[in-house]
Amino acid sequence: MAYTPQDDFGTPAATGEPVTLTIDGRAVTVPGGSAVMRAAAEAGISVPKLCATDMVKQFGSCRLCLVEVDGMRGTPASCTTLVAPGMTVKTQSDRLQKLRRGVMELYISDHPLDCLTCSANGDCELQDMAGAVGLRDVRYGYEGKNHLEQAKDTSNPYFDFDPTKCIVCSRCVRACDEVQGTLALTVEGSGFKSKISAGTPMDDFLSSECVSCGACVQACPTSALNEKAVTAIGKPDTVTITTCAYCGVGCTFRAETRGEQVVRMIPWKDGKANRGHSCVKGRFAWGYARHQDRITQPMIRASIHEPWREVSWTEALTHAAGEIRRIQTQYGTRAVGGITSSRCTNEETFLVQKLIRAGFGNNNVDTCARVCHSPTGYGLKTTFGTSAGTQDFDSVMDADVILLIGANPTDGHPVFASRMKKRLRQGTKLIVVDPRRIDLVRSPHIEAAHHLPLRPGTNVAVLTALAHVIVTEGLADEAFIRERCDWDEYQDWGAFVSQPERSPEATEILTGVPAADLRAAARLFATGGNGAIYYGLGVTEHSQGSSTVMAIANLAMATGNIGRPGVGVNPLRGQNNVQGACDMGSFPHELPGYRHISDDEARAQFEAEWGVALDPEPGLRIPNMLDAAVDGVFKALYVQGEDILQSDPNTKHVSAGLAAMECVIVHDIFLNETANYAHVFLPGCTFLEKNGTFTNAERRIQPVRRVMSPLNGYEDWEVTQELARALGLAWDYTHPSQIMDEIARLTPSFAGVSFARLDQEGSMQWPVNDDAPDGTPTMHIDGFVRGKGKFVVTDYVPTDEKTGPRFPLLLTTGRILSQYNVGAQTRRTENVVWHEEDRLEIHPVDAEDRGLRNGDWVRLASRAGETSLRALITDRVAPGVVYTTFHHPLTQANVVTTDYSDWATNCPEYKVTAVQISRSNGPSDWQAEYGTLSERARRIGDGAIDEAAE
Amino acid sequence: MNTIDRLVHMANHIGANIATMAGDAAPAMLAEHVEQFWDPRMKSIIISHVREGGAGLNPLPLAGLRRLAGDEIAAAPPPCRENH
Repeated sequence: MAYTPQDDFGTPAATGEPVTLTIDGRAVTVPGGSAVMRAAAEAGISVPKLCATDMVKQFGSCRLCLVEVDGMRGTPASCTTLVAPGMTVKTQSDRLQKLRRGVMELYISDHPLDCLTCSANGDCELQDMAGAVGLRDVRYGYEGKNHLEQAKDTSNPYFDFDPTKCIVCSRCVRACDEVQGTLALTVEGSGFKSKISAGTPMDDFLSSECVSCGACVQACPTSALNEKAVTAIGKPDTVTITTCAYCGVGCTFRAETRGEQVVRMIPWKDGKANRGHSCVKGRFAWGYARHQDRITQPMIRASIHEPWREVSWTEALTHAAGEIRRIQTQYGTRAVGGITSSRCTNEETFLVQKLIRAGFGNNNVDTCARVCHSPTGYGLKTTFGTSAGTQDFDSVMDADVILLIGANPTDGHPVFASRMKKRLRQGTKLIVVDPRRIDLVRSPHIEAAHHLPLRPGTNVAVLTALAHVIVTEGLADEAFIRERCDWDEYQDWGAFVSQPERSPEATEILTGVPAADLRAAARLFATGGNGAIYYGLGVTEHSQGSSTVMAIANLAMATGNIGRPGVGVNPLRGQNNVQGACDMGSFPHELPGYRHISDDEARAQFEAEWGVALDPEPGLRIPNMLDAAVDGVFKALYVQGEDILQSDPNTKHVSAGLAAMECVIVHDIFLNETANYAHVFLPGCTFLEKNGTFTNAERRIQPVRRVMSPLNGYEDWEVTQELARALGLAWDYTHPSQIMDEIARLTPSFAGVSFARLDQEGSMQWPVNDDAPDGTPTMHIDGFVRGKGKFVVTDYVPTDEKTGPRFPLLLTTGRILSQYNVGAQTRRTENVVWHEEDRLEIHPVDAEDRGLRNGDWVRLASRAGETSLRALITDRVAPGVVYTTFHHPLTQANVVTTDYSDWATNCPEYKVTAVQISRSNGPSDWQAEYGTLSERARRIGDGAIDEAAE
Repeated sequence: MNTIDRLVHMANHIGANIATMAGDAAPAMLAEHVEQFWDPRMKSIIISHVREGGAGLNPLPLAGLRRLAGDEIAAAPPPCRENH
């Protein structure tokens, strides 16, 4: 659609009982608690404003929005005046016009008059207001003291701050406070000396606590804070609503473009996942789509030791299909498989699993959820009957106590973290269970009631101890349990957790959590009102990941915290479409909609639709694919949008598995680490170049809309279709909406979903069917999907990964705000300015024991391997624990992680690796060798395929 | 770790975690888990190993896999049927 700015009603929406007033002779009815300004705006009456915007609370400083109210003295500000029944308001009069012109004269007397060359020309509220009030001259002249010589701050890679254009309306300060929750900005000084400051007088935006979310830029009414891209390119002319391709929050954006060039991504205020907010990644880090590293031409090679050869699509697809069939003829039908992408759309992952099931003839399909939230699927399906979280994000605003386990949302789910912070600042209590002192433990105006810094690997023991307190102290919600859960199973579970050896006192020596703190936390959760549990990969990426998820579900049921807003079990799913990938049948044992492949009735539906018999036996998970490859029986892999060599554990084993295969087909936008072992490269496209849907962590299905033509020529679903056709399948989709229609036919929870419906509603949360035609924000309201909620006895079983004299420390891993997972996207943007390398966080005591200082190179060794990276000395980690990220391929953090995994799902135990650290001279020899190997593997040349090798 | 060692380790790991979960039904639960989640080759290898004595397998997984090997279990109760 043609570009227009987003509606701005001036002040936030209210929710009171309806009130009717008269504005400019018109009757207007709005919720009680609304400001007069908002009431006018909703009636289509625009009151001039500068310091007000509906994303933040009203401030009443600019005095531009004055109105006349019958019976009220003077000219009150409409932003701070609330509506009252029977009120009569006039928004325009000679008196008001004179006052407004006077205000504008003051502003303009100290403002550059370079509108025609200003980056906000045509998109500037100051300019608009000058026009709205009929400003014709500035009687003060321009010779007085002014701020026109102040220096610009260009430190941030994405936006500039020009104080000469600033009117000190403080919208940015309020946005940083109320929207983002970081409070990095302030107004320094007073009166004429007032100035926006990003922290101390020594700070610029880059060195300050600013997290570059862009809320201040979005709030700014002038070009004081403006995107560098707008300055460079100009004003957008088109807007397309689409969904972010980074994390599982699923922010919706207005992709604002000129032609096919993206100018900026503005958070969509009507986006129900993000409510008009964003983080640095979605807002600014989209430049990777046009990075020079993009591969846009298919390539093949006979051997991974040869350079790539660019070929036509026909040659590449014919070769790939030929290899798959050859391998199946030689080694068997089950010798091939594929991995779907949690970055690609629902329609695309559906097609990949369809290709494997209907085309390859087996169930050897898996997804990156294997290594993150597969325990969530197993655990919640077992206990509740649904492999997904129970709430929407809005639910947090009704929580009274939040139990946050193994998650660091300010880094991993920043936009949701901002909402959580908003709720915490309203008084909601927070309990953090994490070995690290994450930011939420203590932040401006936030302090966790309890931080339980458990020893990595002891989640189940801690959760059982919490349950022990709740059950033995009579704090369980018996009425809820009797009505909604299996009472016998509850009693068995209750007897188990009540055993003395499960108590906080008995488990303290094991978990490291002081018993008194744990008891207090349990009592708070059970008695503090609405209790909501949020968790992340610190729960799932353990040898007892599934048990921990079930222990969490047990707690929620025991305290009656299911089935309404403000409570629930909320897995913070990492990737933009990992929920969708699971929904679409990417697991080797499940068809779309989580029906087991052995379910004859479900399988028959798919067989009828697809016209082919399907293998009723479960297929291989990713780690088992690699095992089978090393064994010589798994020989080909089609990998769409995943980089298992960098992301999966025990890099040595992954590379051995890949090296043992005869045909690795990588379908991606860049040559990634996995492509070092590939024989066919099919270029993919980004979220900006395709149509489809993503499903976020709250089961919200949201549209992805194309804003530019795919640089590689095809959307990813088209590439998969072409590969299917090359294999002899008669697919004829012409648009992803047809794929969604097929999904809806075959998947009961998606039965009511269509592109038309999504265009109408904006987004929908599954299940969407006859029982829930408008979708399902909150699950299990009247009953669990499985019937009665199931209590599962989860005994603590220590991991096999033990510390000892050789490896006395425990390594755990995680993410940082500015980079995303393996960094394929974010490393190719300006975000590298914040995190140009992975660092190892070490406690000062452990560092001192080893003579390590901040910035020193450190050798990090485990039983699996070793790598080197630089130290960051911090007390955020406890003594005995070290922590790093995995965003940079040359660090290869997964060289040290092990093969240990969750008992039920094989989700790798990334969070518990026994390590030793010591001083190093620099990167290890293998890292240097890897860099060379990687360079060699990425050569693109005219080298002929070695016929002999074929 | 070679293939059979890996599968034995996986089976033992499953057994250790479900031992208290299912009580007397643990062997049947283990058998059902392997049936539902392991691919045919993995099942074939572990069943062969069981039939050759099952070295390295702890009692619970050994019992569960013997059930699987003996095909004594009826078709496993249908997996939880969600309306998805």
